[in-house]
Amino acid sequence: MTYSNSSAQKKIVLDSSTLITISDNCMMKVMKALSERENISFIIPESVYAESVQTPMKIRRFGLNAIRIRDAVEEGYVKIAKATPQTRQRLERLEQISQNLCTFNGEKMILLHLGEMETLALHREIGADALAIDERTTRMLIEEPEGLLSFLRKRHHGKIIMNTAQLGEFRREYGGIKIIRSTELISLAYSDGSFAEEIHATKQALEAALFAAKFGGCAVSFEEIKSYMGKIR
Amino acid sequence: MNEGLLQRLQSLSEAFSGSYAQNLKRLGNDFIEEAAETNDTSLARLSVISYALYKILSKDHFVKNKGWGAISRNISAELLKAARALEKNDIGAFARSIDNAVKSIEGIDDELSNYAKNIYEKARIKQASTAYAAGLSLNQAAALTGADSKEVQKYIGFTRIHDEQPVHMGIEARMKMLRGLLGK
Repeated sequence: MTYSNSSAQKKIVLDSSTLITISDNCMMKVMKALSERENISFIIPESVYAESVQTPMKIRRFGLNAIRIRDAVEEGYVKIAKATPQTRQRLERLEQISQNLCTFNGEKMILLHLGEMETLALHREIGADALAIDERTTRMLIEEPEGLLSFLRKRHHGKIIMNTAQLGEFRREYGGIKIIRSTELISLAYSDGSFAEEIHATKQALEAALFAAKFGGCAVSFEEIKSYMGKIR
Repeated sequence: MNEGLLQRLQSLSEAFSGSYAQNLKRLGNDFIEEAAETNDTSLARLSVISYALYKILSKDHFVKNKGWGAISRNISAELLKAARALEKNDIGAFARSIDNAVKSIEGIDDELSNYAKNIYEKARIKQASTAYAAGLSLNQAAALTGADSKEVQKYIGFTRIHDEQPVHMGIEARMKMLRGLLGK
């Protein structure tokens, strides 16, 4: 499968956390409009599809959301990337790094899960333009590992060390990834008119959608939303 | 023998036998922090059991129910058996007794409760959210306690976890980056 129809098309890999926030808040049609208006290809790894559609489809409580995501894949504005030998190789190396990245009192402290690592490996393998991820730890490890280390040291009573060689390799491979969250996708949809697919594009609706993302588990603070809304006319 | 796990199991067992609800809550929190530090799923399980038992002991309609005595004795007996199995380094027997204790807790929903459902599942989600607050990624935290990551994500959304750290890059800065990416 190729992910780009033209050189201008941008590829954004979606982590399961963002996909869930968006679908839970009935914003999948907004994603479709964003994909068309902005010429964005939204891509997920097979594992995210399994986690977001195949498994929850069997659970009544999660079925509706799973159908929304399945429909998005069938309509083609969310694409599934099949794992290639190269992606698997990249993932194996990332797992090794992750297992040896951090120690607590000399024992391995494993921060990332295979699910998040698959998304990162896919991002690099296909040369995506951005990663949409709503959870905090992966984002911090990519953008501000020193901040994450400082947070871990404050939070835990013990000696926490990050292996500089492993961190260096992680940074070389993944440090430059551009990260957005569902809050930025919502804000973009508000500004380019895609928002209207779901709701009238008023300031009140934008604020409500941003808070819905926050309450849906997106790693964004009240302060951030307040500050951003203060600048919206 | 895993001395650390045994000591923690004994603390849990004593707190439950003495009906010390607040001790169970504290133990549950301590255990999940430790489990997150060492990726110890057995300790995470004890954490979930501690928290579930704390919730049960905090609710009168459970503990005043005539069926509670038998269930409580059963849970205590299984925790004791699990401790004996650990002393003998019999990991299989330990796991079976812990499974039985969990089944008894899960059975409470059906036998005693008209109000609360899925006490054990809720405890899994709550403790996973604490592991996330302690620095694990969302999926890693959910996997530690066996909780559903979607449920953990939603639970986290109603906490202040994401308000506790300084903002590295706010919505406006990320929007600027995204617009740049899209050539706008």
